[in-house]
Amino acid sequence: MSRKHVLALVVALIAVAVLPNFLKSYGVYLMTLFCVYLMATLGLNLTVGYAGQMSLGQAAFFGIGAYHAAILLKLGWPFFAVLPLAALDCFVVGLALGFPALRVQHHYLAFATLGFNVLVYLVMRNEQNLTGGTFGISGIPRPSLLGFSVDGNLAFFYFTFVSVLLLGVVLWWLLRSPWGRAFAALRDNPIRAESLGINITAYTLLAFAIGAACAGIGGVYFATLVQFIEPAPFHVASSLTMLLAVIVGGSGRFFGPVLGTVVVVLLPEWLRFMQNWYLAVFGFAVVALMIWLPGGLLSIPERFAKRAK
Amino acid sequence: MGDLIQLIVSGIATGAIYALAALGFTLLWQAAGVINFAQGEFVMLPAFAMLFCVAAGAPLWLAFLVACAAAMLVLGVGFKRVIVDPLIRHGVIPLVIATLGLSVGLKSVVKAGYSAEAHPFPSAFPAGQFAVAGVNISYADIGTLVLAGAIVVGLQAFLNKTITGRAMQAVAQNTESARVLGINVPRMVMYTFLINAALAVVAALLITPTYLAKFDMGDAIGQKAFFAAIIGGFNQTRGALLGGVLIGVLENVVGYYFSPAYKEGVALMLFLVVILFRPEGLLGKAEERKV
Amino acid sequence: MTAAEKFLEVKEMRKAYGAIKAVDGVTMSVGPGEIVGVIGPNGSGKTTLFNSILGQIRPTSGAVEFCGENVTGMSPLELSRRGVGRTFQTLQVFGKLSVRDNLIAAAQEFKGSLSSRLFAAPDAGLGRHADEMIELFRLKHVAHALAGTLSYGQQKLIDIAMAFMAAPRLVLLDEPCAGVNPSLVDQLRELLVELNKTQGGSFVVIEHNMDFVMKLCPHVICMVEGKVLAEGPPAAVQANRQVLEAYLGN
Repeated sequence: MSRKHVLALVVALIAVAVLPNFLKSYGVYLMTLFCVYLMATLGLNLTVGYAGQMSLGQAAFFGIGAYHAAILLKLGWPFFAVLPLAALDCFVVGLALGFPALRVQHHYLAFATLGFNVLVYLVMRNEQNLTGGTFGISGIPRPSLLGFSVDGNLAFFYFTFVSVLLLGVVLWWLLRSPWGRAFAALRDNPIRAESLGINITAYTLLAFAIGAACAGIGGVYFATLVQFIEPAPFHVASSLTMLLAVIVGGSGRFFGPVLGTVVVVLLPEWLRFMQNWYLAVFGFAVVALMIWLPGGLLSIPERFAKRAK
Repeated sequence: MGDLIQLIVSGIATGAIYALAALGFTLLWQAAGVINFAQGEFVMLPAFAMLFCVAAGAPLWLAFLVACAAAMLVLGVGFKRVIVDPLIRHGVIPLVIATLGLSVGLKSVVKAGYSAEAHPFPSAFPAGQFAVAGVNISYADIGTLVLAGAIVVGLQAFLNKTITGRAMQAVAQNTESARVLGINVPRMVMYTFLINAALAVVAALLITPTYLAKFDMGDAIGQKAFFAAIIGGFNQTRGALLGGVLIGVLENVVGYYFSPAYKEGVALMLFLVVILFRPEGLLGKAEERKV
Repeated sequence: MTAAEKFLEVKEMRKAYGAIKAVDGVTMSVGPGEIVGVIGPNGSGKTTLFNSILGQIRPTSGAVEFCGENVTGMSPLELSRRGVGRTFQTLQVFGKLSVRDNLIAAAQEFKGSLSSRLFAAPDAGLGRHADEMIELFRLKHVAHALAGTLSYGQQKLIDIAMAFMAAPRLVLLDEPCAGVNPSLVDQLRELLVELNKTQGGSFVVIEHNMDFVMKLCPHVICMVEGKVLAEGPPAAVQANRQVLEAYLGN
């Protein structure tokens, strides 16, 4: 990253860290929700943007993470035991789901994840004994770190903010390693990549499983943010929204999900005045955006550069 | 036994409707590489269009023709020119997102602009049943079977026996070779979009009397069309038929003999089983590695 | 060739597309370190033969043995693990990666395991080797440019350099000189000779440029209509009457 970009990043981080102090509690909630959602979309970007796969089930993993938190935290498990378990479970399920789908033809992962999400949603809704069905699970406690409680909205925001930063650093480091080059190669020219020993199936499977684990982590934070979990946020529609966030921001670009998540989390608030028509505008705006900017918002600088030539 | 036969016949009829939507969906994928997540809305919109025409006093058959023409224009030509053509060269994903946005947009326009309620829709067939060998079969089911069957047979004949149809198949199987052979590929692809639009209108005509016209009626249909296409085999048009009929029949059988609550999950279960154990679909061919 | 020297063996390879016999019973063998040329008019099945050997398409019948192991129908991935590499008839580079990254990508999968690579340095320890290859192919001035922005000739060099990064024991080159200007052709030939000496791999080269083939390959096979028409030292094949007729027509 260039000096300019690093500077911009630091300024942005400081701004985000300071801003909640000037917002009312709903504003703080939105910013925390943004951080939580970003965990899932960062993971999805790995699957979609870097490994080139289409996943239509990220919300299912988000939900699995959330229900892990809801059930286990209420049983008294410590937060930092639930978090890795949720991540691990999502990772394993991701491997199990991706393995048969990817072995055959690569676009089958899209179908498998769609079916998986529909199934998971049905289970969440019907298995009253486990998930509380449509009544959900309420009263999820917020964690306490070394004696410090992060119950308060502001404290919880900072906790989540630092967590998503850490997740971002981990993913950045993963993409800087030779794995990042392998992803770029297999997306650029899969035929050549395979003849050079790049195991496309293994890499895409791992990218998918890691992306799923990220969503699981986000789900745990989501549960502790809203402190009440029911199936609705984990419907296929949410998976589509997450995919939207990744694409709108710019898939395959590291900060794409940041922009995309801002759009997806904040847009409903800005368009609230449209009431019934909000979704209609949103839907067609997405179509227009795709036609105009298929590379997402972060491709705008390149478009200007091209036009300047 | 009579019950079972009734369920099966009725199931085949419903399945045939799913198959029509799945057929168009499969054709779009094969010929143009388009996964149309707004397929359900392509059924929903003509349903409302026909409803408006009927409310304005037109007979159903006229409403149907008007809707067909409008659908071919807007959902066929319009969809291709405005959305698919600009996006197709950027890969599958931007196009998928665009169709998702389209789906949400169309649903919401109808909901906000017209009504969130479910509206009754006239049936193309007379009400009532008749008995055959002790089994009661409704006129609607028989009518659906005959109409859907005729369309399917007609479409297959068109695809297999006419020059245009075979050209369309060539484009679906290998676009580059088709181009080299001098086939007008863009025109064949356009025909595919037109056929898809028409099939959706027929599906609307046949299913809306039962489902009722509602802004979100496309959700269930779109999902079942999608599942049916994959179950049957995404690279085979006959697969869409088998998938649709299989879903229709099994839904009825499971709903009756087990529980109505499970009816919802049938299509999904079939889909998951196929995806995991026979991903190329029941009638599909395992695809060769591409060079 | 004695049994001990048998390195690559292709036995009765056939690939048919319906009634069209693209490859119709080809038998050939290559020894370690050998350079073999494959010539023949367009459509004689040379590339199809390569694709059948290299797992890009499934042969109709026939067998391929590499160092005594039956590798018939193995995927390109499995073959690459056994030290088999190739270049393609059309340019196949990673256009959005830099030249240096293209070369590193071409060899990084052979260093360590999938998991060890996660913790390795960003260049997978191949930076120096990539730079050496860049020097050899005279691409130093564009080492950090995106491969897709370079000229055809430069991309061709990258394409070929990539095939040799992991020092494969056997490389199949499909028309390395296609579309390349004459001065570059000589440079290519010298590079291949050099690589053959330093890495010791065997090469099988499809080429239309007769001069190139005759100067590079001590053994030449001529294919016509899916079959082997003649084989032997280049001068003999070139003088073979049937070969001349196949090229010039009757």
